[in-house]
Amino acid sequence: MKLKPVQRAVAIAIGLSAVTLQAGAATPAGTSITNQASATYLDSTLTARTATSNTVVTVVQQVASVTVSAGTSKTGSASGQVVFAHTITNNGNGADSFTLSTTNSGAFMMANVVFYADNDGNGVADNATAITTTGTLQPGAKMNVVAVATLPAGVGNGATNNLVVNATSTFNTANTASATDVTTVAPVSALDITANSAGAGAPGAGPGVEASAVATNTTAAGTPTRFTLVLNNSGTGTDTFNLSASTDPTFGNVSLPSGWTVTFKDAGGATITSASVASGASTVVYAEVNVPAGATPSTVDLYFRALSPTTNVGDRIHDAVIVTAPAGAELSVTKTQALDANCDGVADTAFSNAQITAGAVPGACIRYEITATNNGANAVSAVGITDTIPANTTYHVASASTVASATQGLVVAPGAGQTGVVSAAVGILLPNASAKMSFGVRINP
Amino acid sequence: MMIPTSLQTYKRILVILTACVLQFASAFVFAADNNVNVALKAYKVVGDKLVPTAEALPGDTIEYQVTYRNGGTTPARDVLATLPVPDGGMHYLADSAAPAKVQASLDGKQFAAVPLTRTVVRNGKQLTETVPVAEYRFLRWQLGELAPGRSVTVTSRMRLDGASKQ
Repeated sequence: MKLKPVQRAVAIAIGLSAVTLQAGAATPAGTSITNQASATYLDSTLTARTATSNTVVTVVQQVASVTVSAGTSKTGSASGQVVFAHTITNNGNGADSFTLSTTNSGAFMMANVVFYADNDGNGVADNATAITTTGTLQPGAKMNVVAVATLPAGVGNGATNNLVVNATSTFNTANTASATDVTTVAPVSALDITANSAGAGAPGAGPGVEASAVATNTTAAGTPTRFTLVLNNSGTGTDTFNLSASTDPTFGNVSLPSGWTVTFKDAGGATITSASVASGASTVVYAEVNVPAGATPSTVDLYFRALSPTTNVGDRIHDAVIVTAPAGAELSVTKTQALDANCDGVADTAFSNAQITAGAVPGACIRYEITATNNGANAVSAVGITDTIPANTTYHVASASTVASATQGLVVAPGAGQTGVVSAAVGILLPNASAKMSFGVRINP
Repeated sequence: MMIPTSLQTYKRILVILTACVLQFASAFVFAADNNVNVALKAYKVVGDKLVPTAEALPGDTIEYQVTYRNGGTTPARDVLATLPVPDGGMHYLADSAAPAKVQASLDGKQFAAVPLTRTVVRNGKQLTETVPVAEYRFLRWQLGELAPGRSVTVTSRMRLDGASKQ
């Protein structure tokens, strides 16, 4: 029992050498782990005895371990830069430094990759000093770095690069951790053309050409009309777009109807052939459409395109022009005919303005339709349709239901079998409205 | 003036003498009564081989071998052999103790046969749960009587906490 103070001293010594560790952390390199076995027993006099062993010391050696935080995916543009942030962590049990390196794979190689310190972890290089190593990191310590990669010139849109970021232990160069960053090439600009205003709700919002016209202007032949195009660049860089107009939505054939011209103008009224749009901005372009005086009243689909010759980014918009007849020439009149061989008052064929080449024998009948249409922008009044019974024929009435008639207005006709004039007092015709007069004649036997 | 000095010198001599006597007494007691010698060795487990080592890497397994030898002329009775699980990241490897009939303790005072269990209250219910072997801090074997000249070896394996190796 006299040994007890010695044992206590040993116990205290062991206690002092014990290392306090946080749960889960690897034991630091250089730590001495001491162990001492003991025994208690009763000797021959039944006195309790204690015996202790030698002390065994095991010194913990260093192991290297490193992690690199997961990679991310970004878009970049030709000759542009992408920045990838990573955290390098020393998971070994001793101080270590880690060499930074990269390897490329994929459709293109980065032109250049440089690491910088990012000690504040904001994903932006702290300074312009390139680094190639983390410097010494204590066990458990981390360092934030950014890899700034420069894309090569001329890489195609959609091409991807896999950039593997490696951190290699200096203590044990066989110990490396990696993470892969993916870069997809995207153009600096992204264009959407809208009509009259910008924004998601504007007519024509969304890329690509629309199936139907998003803006329609009505103009009389010979009078110019103007469309307002808004070029919206949602990309990351300024781009310049060439302007063109066509009736072909694919622009495979850039053409306009005969005599038509389109002139593009900027907001100040100056004639332009291209427009520059800053990142995130919208630029207004006016397309002035000149419709020739002789243009046939009709609806013409027009497509406008803005296309960057450098990035090939562009968009198209579908507009339309309704051409009306000029004042004083609003009405158009067409006359069609069809054979009525058995003179029952019903046309045997469809009406057309083609020549009847068979069946028009003496005693046969012919039906006529005369249509008047208001092609102007305004209503016209006191419209009358008049036709004369042709020579060698007489007005023919087969039945009460097949007498001369009109879709609008009273009809005056000669007596059956007589010659003379058939007329309809149509009266008022609204824009785009038409009236039709119908009657039959019999070829003299 | 001399008296205090002489007194101090005397006291110092007395302390030294007492220490010498105590140390001699200790050695004498060791030689006379404390017959059991304890020898501890540490080996690194490499595959199925044991390599004497004074070093370890995180994740390594160390086998401790303790030999108890009765070098005296009388039997030692009720021999209790204690092997600590050392601090510094060492954990007992379950079922590695030999002989397998071993006791364990968390505090070096209260021992019980492995596996250790404890009573916990969870959700208002008393439950008996198994203590994770990683919490064992001491192993103890009841060796019984050790005859003169006889020796017994106990072994156990401990694992050094691993670094997260790649």
